[in-house]
Amino acid sequence: MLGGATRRRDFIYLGCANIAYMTLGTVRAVAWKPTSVRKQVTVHARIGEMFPPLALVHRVRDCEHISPVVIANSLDNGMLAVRGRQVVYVGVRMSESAFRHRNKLERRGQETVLRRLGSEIETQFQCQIVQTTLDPNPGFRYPYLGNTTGSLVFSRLVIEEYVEDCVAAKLCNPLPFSLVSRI
Amino acid sequence: MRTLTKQNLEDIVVGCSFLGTGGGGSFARGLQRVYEDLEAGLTFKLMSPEEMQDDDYAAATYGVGSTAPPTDEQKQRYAKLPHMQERSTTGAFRLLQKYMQKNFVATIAGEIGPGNTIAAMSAAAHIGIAQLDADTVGRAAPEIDQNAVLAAGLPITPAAGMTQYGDELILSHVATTSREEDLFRAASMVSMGIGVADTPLPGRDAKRKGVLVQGSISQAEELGRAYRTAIDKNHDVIQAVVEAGHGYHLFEGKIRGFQWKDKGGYLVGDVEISGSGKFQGSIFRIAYKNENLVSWRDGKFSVTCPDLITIVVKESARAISNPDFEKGQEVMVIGFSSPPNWRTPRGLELFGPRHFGFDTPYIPIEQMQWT
Repeated sequence: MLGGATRRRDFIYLGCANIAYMTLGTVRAVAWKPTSVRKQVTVHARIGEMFPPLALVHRVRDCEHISPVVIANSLDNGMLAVRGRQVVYVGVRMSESAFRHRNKLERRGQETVLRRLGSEIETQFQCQIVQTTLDPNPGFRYPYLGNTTGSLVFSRLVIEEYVEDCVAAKLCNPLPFSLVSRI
Repeated sequence: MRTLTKQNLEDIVVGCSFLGTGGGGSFARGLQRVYEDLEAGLTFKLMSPEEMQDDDYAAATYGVGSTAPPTDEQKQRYAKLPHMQERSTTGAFRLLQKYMQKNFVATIAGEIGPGNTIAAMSAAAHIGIAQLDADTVGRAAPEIDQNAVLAAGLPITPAAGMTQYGDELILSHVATTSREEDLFRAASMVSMGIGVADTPLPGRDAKRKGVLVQGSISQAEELGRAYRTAIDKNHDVIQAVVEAGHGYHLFEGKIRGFQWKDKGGYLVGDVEISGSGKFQGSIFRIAYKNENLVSWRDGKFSVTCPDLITIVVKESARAISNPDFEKGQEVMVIGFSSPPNWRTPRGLELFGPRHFGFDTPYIPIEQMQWT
């Protein structure tokens, strides 16, 4: 039921100001090569991941004052061959006001994070997001490595090539998804 | 007695996830409860059994149910029922208190796990009493029989049960302890879980060595602190947890396959891991009934219950909750010694591998040989 394929994991940094990238690992974006026609994708996001890849955590810590966003890019090779699927982890540092002094992001805050990540994803992967879904997750603030700039929030994004039939099937079985929106 | 800070509580939830051995309730729900209770202004207090007066009482409170996700049919069936404002574990504790008319000063965790330990602590915070720094198992366990108080020869009734719909059950006496399990589990299967309060103990018994697993909340906190410190200092997180718990690296590799089913209200299944690194060429298998119980390496029995077997995702140091596996996932299997309460003949009768139908004697994890 929860099966998947072997993952290979590479890392891409996104520098601080929205678009400046700093590649620290090998980018293996086989299915995501920039092309003149942007690939249409769907994004399913879990905002507030408590156990992100430790390598991502270490990288966020190491560049805490220059980089608000980090992406760990994992390729799910098995699924990639079938319909183009990537699992991406993202760390965002957010100011205290975003949390409204609570320990987790409310649904609206999670949607804001997702919108922000969406534009980064579209730039990074030269794609067009046609649909986003948000996991019914509590949206935890990462309890470690907070600093004066703010606290970390990690997210897990599943980016899949948009296929009409596939999406229709998902909408008919909405169990894992609590929000469906169209960008 | 001490008041727990947010950080103490976060450490406890994280530590419990390693001692939950694949079960013990949902991590997210446990942490969410902590945050909701703190934001509601509630206070979490931890007290040693030594601080109880002889005539004071404490009781265990926990949830009973399968960790398998509910089916659509179940969801539809119960959607129209009224839902209680109060959590069912808190309700069950209040019900037991009302039935016994004793001075209850603390809750006891029914087990150590990220959801269920916090359920007891949250119940204490809501009622305005303390949580004992103790539990009835020292890890998470699938059946009510795995209760150290039973192993010490004391009864665990009277017991109270409350569903999320407000149904109240009192078991003043049961024919055998497994009947309590049967009756509450039957109720849980038609209620998508049930809150239970049992094992009412006077202070004089709670303090006695070998009755409760003492210091287990502090132990979970220590593991969580080790986890947090390793993150802060960029150290090996899994190693830090293993060291803090005086544990063992049992195996390392990739998830090769897994299967599970919901059987009689339990999540029953197994998982196979193909070895990597120094374990290359070996296969490790773990069988679970809600919690991880028995393991085999290359077909031969390895670590078994009551010792602890925990599967950890290598890349994130997350203790896996059954059956949340992914094929190809790189994992590490770690183990910890069970509390001494379970290493008596009666303890092994209740929590040894033979209790679950595995034909092998219990060999303490410390005596195992690994290559």
